Amino acid sequence: MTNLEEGKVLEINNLVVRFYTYAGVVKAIDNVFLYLKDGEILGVVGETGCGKTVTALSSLRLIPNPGRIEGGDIFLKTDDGLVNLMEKNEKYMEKVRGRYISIVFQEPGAALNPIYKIGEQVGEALLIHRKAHYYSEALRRVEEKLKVERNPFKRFILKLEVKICEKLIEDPNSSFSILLSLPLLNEVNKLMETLIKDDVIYLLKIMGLPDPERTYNRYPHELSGGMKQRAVIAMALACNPKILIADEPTTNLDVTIEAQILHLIRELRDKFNSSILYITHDLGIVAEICDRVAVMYAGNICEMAGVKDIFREPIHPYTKALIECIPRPGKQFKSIPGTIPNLINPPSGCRFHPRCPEAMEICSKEAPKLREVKEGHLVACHLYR
Amino acid sequence: MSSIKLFMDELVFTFKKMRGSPLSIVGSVIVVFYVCLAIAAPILAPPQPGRDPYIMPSYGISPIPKPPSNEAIWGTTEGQYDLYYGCIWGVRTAFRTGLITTAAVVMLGIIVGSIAGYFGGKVDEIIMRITDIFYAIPTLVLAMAIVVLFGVGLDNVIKALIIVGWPTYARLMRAEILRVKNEDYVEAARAIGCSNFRILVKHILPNAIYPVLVMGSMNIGNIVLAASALSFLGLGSPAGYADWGSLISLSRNWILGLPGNPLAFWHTYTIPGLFIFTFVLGWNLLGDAFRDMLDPLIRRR
Repeated sequence: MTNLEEGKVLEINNLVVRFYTYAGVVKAIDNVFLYLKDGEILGVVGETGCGKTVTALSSLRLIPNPGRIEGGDIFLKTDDGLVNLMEKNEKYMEKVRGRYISIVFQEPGAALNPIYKIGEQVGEALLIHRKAHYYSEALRRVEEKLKVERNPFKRFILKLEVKICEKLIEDPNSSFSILLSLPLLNEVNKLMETLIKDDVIYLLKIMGLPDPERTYNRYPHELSGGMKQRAVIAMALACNPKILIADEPTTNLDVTIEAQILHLIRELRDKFNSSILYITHDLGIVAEICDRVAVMYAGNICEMAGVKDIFREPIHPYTKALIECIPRPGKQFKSIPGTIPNLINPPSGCRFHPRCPEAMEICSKEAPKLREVKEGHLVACHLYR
Repeated sequence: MSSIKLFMDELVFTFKKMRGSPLSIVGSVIVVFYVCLAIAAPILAPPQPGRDPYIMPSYGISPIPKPPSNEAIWGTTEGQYDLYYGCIWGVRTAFRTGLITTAAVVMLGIIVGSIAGYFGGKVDEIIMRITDIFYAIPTLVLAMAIVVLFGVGLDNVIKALIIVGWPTYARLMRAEILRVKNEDYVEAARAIGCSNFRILVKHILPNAIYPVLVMGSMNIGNIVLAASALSFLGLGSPAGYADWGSLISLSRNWILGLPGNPLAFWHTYTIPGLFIFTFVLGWNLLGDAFRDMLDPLIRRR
C-alpha cells in the first residue's frame, strides 16, 4: 500500500499485540483494523480491558513491557508522505510522538510531573519538536541587537552566538547547544525562553485556563482537576499534532468539568483541525461529541460506523447489547450476561459468541471478518455476510 | 530579574520551612560551627612556618600524655602531640574525608543505579549481583583489606571507603528509579517525544534523587566514623597527622588510666571523641533538615 484513501490520516491494519506474562500469552489485540479521517472525532468504546488503550498506545509504539506488537501496519500521513510506523526506528518515533500524534491520559494529576511548573512542562514539547524554529527566531532577534550594539566586547559575544546558533539551526540536537548555556553566551537561550513562554501562555489561553501568566508559574498540585486536564491537553496540542488520542480524559472529573472539557475538545478540533481518537466506555459522551464510532470487544473491532448509524441501527449483537445497557429513567437496569473472556485463552471463533444471544454454530469455529455492509458501516459478524 | 526574585523567594521559603524543626537548626549550627573551625584553623592553631600544617607539633619524646598546661592548652597525647592543635586541624581532615568520599560515592551510586534501574534487564541483573557481592562481606573488613592492598594512608582510606560505599547508593537509586519509572508523567513525557536520556535526566532523576542526597548528607558523619575506625586500627594517616581517629588511636594505651586513678588521661580520648561525636550528630540532624527542604513532594505541605 502506498497511498491512503482520500482524507485518511491514520490507518491501523491487522494489528496484533501480545503480552508475554508469567501466566501465559495475553492476546490483547487481534487483527484490529481502524482508520481515522481528517478532522473527525472517532470514538472507541468497549468494556474495560477490551484493548482500547492498547490500540491507542500501539499507534505511538508505546506498548509497555511485557507487551509486543507482533504484526500489522500503522500508516500515518506525515509531512514527508505516507509512513508505515512499524518500519521506523525509535529515533523516528520520538519525532512522531507529540508532533504528529499526541495522547492525553486518563488521570490528569498523574500525567504532570510534580516538580516542574505547568508552563515548563507545556513548553517542553515545543522545545523538543520546534527547536530549529525557535533558534532561527532567536537568531533574528540577536542579529537585530547586533545592529544597534556599539560595545565591541558585546558585539564579539553576540557574533559568536550567531555563529553557534547558525550551526544549531542545521542540527538542533547537536552538542553545541551546551555552549549557549554558558553564562556569557546565554543571550540566545534567554530569548528562546521568552519566545517559548509567550507561545505557552498563548496556548494556555486557548485552553481556557484563567490567568495564563500566573498559571504558567504554578505547580501541578496547585491546580484543580479540570485545570490540570486543560494543561495536559495544552501539552499534547503544543506542536499542533494531526492526531490527538484522548484516553478517557474525563473519567476522573466531575460532570460539570466533564462537559467543559468535552466542549473544549470539540472546539479545539475546529481550531487546530486535528483528528481525535476518543477512547471511552461512556456511550453518552460518544453520542455527544463523536463523528464515528468503533466498538471493541476482547481485542477485536466488532463494528465501526457513523455515530448516528450506531445508535439508530446497530448491527452487531454486542453493540446492540451495549446500547441496551445505557441506563435510562423508567427502564429496568440491564447488563450483558457473562463476563469478558480471559484473553490468555480467548474463545474460539468469534470472541463474543459465549455471550451472544444470536450465536450460531459457525460462530465458535470461525472468526468473522470485518466487512462493509453499508457505506461506511463495517461489521464483524457471521449474521451479516 | 524575575528568576532571581523567584530564587530568593524559594530560599526564604526554605529557611522558613527549616525554622519549623528545631533539630535541623541544631544540626545546621553544629555543621556551620565546624565549617568556621575548618576555615579558621590557621588562626586558631597557627602552624609553625615551613612545616606541613597537618602534622601536629610535638613537645618532647615521652610517651606518657600530659594534662593541660600553658604550652598545650588541652594537654598532650602519647608522643607529646598537641591535642588542641590536632583537634582543630582534624576538622579539615574530617571534612576532606567525609565530603570527598560522600561526593564520590553518591555520584557513582547515582550513575550506576540509574543505569540499572532505567534500562533493566541483563545490565540491571549484573550490577545488582555485584552489589550483592559487596554486601556479602562486612563493610569494615572489606575496607581494611582494600587499604592493606593499596597501602596504609589517608588517601587510600578514602579510596577504600568509596569502593565499599557505592553499592548502598546504587541500590537506593535503582529502587527509586524503578518507583518513578512507572509514573504516568514519565509515560506522558515519552508520549510528547522525549528521548530516553532526556526522560532519565529531566523527568526521572529529579523525582528520584532526593532519598540518595539525604542519605548522602546523613552518611558524611558515618564516613568520618569509619575513617576514624580505620585510623584507630592504624591503617589511616601516618603518626602525628591531625586526624581525630589517630588521636584516639594514640590514646589506646591510656584509656585505663593509672592504678588508683582511672581518669588520669581522660582528655586524650574524651576530647577527640567529643569532636567526632558532635560532628557526626550535626551531619545526621542536617540530613533530616535536607529531607524536609529538598524533597519537592513534602516541601510545600
